Amino acid sequence: MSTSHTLSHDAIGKLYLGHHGYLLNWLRHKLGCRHQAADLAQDTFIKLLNHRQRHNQPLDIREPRAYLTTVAGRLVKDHYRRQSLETAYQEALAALPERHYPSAETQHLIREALYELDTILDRLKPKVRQAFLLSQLDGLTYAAIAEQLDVNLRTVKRYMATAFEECIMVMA
Amino acid sequence: MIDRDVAREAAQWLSLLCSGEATAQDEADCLRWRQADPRHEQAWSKAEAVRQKLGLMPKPVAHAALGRPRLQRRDALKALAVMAAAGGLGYQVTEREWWRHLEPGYLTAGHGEQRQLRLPNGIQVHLNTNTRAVVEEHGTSPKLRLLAGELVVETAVGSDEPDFLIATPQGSIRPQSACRLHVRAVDSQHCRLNMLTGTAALTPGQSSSVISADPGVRYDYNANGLLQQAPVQPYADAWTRGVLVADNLRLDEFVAELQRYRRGYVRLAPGIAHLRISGAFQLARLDHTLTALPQTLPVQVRQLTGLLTFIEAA
Repeated sequence: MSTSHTLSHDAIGKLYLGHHGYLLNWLRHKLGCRHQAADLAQDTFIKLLNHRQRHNQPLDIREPRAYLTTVAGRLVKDHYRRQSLETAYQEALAALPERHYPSAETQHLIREALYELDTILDRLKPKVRQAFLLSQLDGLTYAAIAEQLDVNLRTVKRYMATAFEECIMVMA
Repeated sequence: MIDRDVAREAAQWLSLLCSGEATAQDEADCLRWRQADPRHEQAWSKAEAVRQKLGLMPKPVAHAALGRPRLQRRDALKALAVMAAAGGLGYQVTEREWWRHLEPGYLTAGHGEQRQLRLPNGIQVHLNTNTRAVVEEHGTSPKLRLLAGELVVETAVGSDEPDFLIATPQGSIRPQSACRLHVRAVDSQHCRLNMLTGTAALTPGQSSSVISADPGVRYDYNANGLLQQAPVQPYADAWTRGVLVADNLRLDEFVAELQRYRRGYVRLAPGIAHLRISGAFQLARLDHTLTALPQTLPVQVRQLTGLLTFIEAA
């Protein structure tokens, strides 16, 4: 085990011992499910640990509880997003004709790719997202998109640039 | 890390090239821009990766999933408020436990999941919902430590004395023959072993007394020793076949069992908890099981959102 590993265990271990109960309680009230709460509480700490290892510097946390609930809150939001994505995905799969039905393995790959794409798209405003999908998925021209979204051509260009910028920043 | 300014420039180029209006000159200029600096090319390739992923998606699926209507913040808060009002049970994880996520050999099945895997020596392990366990190497033979939840372990036919240990929070189990056994950490104080076939040596807690576990017998034990011995629960391992079996269960017990596998919350109106239910139910179709309850019991089922279900007297 490397030194940085040990150090981070120590710092975050203290945080864990001091505030895990509080965080679990907070998550339980948000989620209404103790199992999910327990899972997300774990994920929160693992996130801190990864952060610590990536940046290789001590976490400077003056308000541990506010910090933890901010990180956990993001995970809760993510959790609901993933759930709604999964539902929409399952419904779309069910609507496919049988001969187009992907294998279990392909389904898994699609699911993971969808989640990744969704993470990017979720950061975009609804119209920007729509424009991006119409262009990249349907191959519509900007003129056609402008008409469909009832905006002018310059705005579509701006939407597309915003979307691409977000793609690059999130994937980086 | 990609510089925001570089990302913005790359995005401008991409926006132009996807517009359908780009000239050959634009394309040449763009290529020159990409080649001018490795950071340009890096930013460009990130966006290309996204475009490629999108391009490979089955179109109707990607449309339905990515273009789905999204909850506005207000709606999300409302949904959370309903859940907060509905839920909340006591729960504790041991402080040591969560580190194990980071260890190699950590096995976990989430809420509603079942997992099956094979260890060395032909040992089959099934994990039921909300189960955590760790495989620890012990010389050449594996040791399986159950932290929470329940397992079915099957040791291979033919290996007479598999050198294999199952550690549970309140004691250890060593299979003595080819066997199939079910073990569950019932609560933080006690464990249950259902010896389905074959025999095993059960050592509760730190005690030196070894109990010989026989097929067809169930053993409840805690860290101090054996609590009780009874006939095996015949459907203890039905979940390994994707089935939940109810044998004359009270409705409140049945719903509690269902909720181990299902997401969402079920509220039972007073006065119907004592109703009895029997049957075999597919774990993959428990939502259907709930909505079909009125066919067998004098109840009505109301669903408020997918997450909240009310069962009331009909």
